[in-house]
Amino acid sequence: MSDILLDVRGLDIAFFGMAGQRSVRDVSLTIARGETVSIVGESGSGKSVSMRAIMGLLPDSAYVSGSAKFLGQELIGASTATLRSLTGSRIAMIFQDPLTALNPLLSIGDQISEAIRIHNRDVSRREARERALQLLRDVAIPFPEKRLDQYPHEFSGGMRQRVVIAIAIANKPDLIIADEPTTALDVTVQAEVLDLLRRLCRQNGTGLALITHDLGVVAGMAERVYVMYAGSIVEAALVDDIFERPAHPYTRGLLRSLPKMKDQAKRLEDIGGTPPTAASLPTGCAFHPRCSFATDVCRKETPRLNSYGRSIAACHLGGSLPAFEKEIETA
Amino acid sequence: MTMDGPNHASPSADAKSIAPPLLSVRELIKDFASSGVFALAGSNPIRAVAGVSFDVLSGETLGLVGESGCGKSTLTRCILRLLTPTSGSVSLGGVDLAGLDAEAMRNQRKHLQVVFQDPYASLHPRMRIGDIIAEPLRLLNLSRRASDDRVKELVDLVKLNREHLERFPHELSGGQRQRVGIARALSVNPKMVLLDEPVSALDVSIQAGILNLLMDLQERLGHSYLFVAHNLSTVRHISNRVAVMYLGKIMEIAPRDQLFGAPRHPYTAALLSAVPVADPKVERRRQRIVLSGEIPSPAAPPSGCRFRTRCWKAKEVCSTTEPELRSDGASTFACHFPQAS
Repeated sequence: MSDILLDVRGLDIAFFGMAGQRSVRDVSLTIARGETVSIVGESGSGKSVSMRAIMGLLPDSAYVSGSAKFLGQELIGASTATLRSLTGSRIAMIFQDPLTALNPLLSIGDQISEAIRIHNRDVSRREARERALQLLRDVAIPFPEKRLDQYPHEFSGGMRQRVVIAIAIANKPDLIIADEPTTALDVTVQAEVLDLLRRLCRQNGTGLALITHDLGVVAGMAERVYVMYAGSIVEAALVDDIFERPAHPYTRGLLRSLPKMKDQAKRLEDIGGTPPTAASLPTGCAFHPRCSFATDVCRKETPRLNSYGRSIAACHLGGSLPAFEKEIETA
Repeated sequence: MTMDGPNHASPSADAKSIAPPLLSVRELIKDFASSGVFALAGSNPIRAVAGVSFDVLSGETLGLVGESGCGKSTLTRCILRLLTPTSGSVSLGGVDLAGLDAEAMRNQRKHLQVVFQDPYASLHPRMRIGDIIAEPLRLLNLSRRASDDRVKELVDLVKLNREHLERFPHELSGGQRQRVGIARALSVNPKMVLLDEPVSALDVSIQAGILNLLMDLQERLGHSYLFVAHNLSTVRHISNRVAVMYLGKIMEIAPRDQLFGAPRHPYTAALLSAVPVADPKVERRRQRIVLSGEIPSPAAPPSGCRFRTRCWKAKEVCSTTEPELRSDGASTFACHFPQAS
């Protein structure tokens, strides 16, 4: 992995009024050119906030420190002009809810054209429209000529997300940050949209940061995975290693708590308790109150990320955990 | 009525054919007039539920799956009489709910309870947890003392702390709130509980605990569930039988392992193949059945089979003749060209 697109180091985020409690603590991650990386975690784990901070999308009440370099260029603290020139052209974002991401008063064609023309002033309206049409074809929207002049309310959820993807790829970005892009969609539509996203990224050599809570989506899309819990990265590994030999007890708990599509259904193993909030972070390891392996050191000291084989995990017991017994699914 | 009363035995496979169904839905239809400022006079009504029939047996869990817009929520609302069905019958323990007036329906509500999807919206923000759980108990005309005892019993049952009784919903996490919703539903000892996407608003690590609780409670108390969800792996986990809906109709209904192991309806097969599996090796190998197009509007469903516009097996006959639900002994399905069993 030579060509690093995004290099995040020691990202810290705090919000005004939180009395020094940080919502995101010391997050470091990298995404290489053409690579699909998944950031997994439950609500409140800091996965979306981290990515939004990088894009400069957090409100003024957020204090962001650390570094996030995109192709060597620092994004944290960068001027609005710098961020504007990058977002939508070199870095694009796809959000969960395609309806709120689109302007209800502009036709689809105008919205795609706008994304093209805002970064390329010399493209004529007619040319932009031609390219918008081609983009609709690229994202496999039927009857693109007719659809170009329609408005978001005339599209179904899956079609809207295709339009959002068309806008995201309009300027052939190097990196797409997709925040739960299929969570609002039905399974059959989700499968289509993920296939599309996978194909387009592969075709254009685009890096993809896929934020999701769905481990099934992770398994199908990602090459590498970062697992976040309570504002920190607790494990980073290749996708096969995450599912076969998860190093962190939280990752193991997530995998065990999933109902299976094969196997005899038996009692699920739930992770007891609830994730902490930034304001009620426990001492030591943030996961220790819910961890069945927790010892005294876990209650006192915050674990640092250590290497375990090819993975890294933030766990005091990483090496001494019993082997993870994988329940094999066959399809 | 107390928790320690005699439990209904869980149905064994052979008892199913003998025992009369607890909930019986027949030819249920619900039309919505396309109304509002822009509606044209004489325009087609939207038929959200287009003639649905099924049974739920005593002590069993029937899963109901389908994509958004398939009518599963309208169907559950009709069963609950939160909506009045256009035609058809819903009978619970032999009583036809569809024909009851408001007063008579109120008397039946203790047998039929519901847990809603969103534990943030379904609890009154200004009522204490204890009062929320106690509210349905007014149907039973209990003394204050008996009601208080019952509430404590319920809180223990759903594994909350008694100190939660004095709190307000905003002080509880999503999982805890859903436990309150379950306690409220079970407070009147219902025979039938409708679960409308009860875990889809919760985080993965919390979902498992709620699913376990629902299954434990059923084993102890013997009520039936109609479990409505779009997440197939969750449905598979909790259900004895599963019904698949598409555009207002049931496409297939079968015992759990039958439906997931050997789906007969092409739509069921497509739905199953679309579910992402949490195993990268499986994901790399798998061949998806990719459906083309979108769910048609229920205001103008396709002629013949409703699924034909997206079905890769569709032939001439599919557009002219609507397939009837038929049984092969194991599964019941509505298709001219079913998948191999």
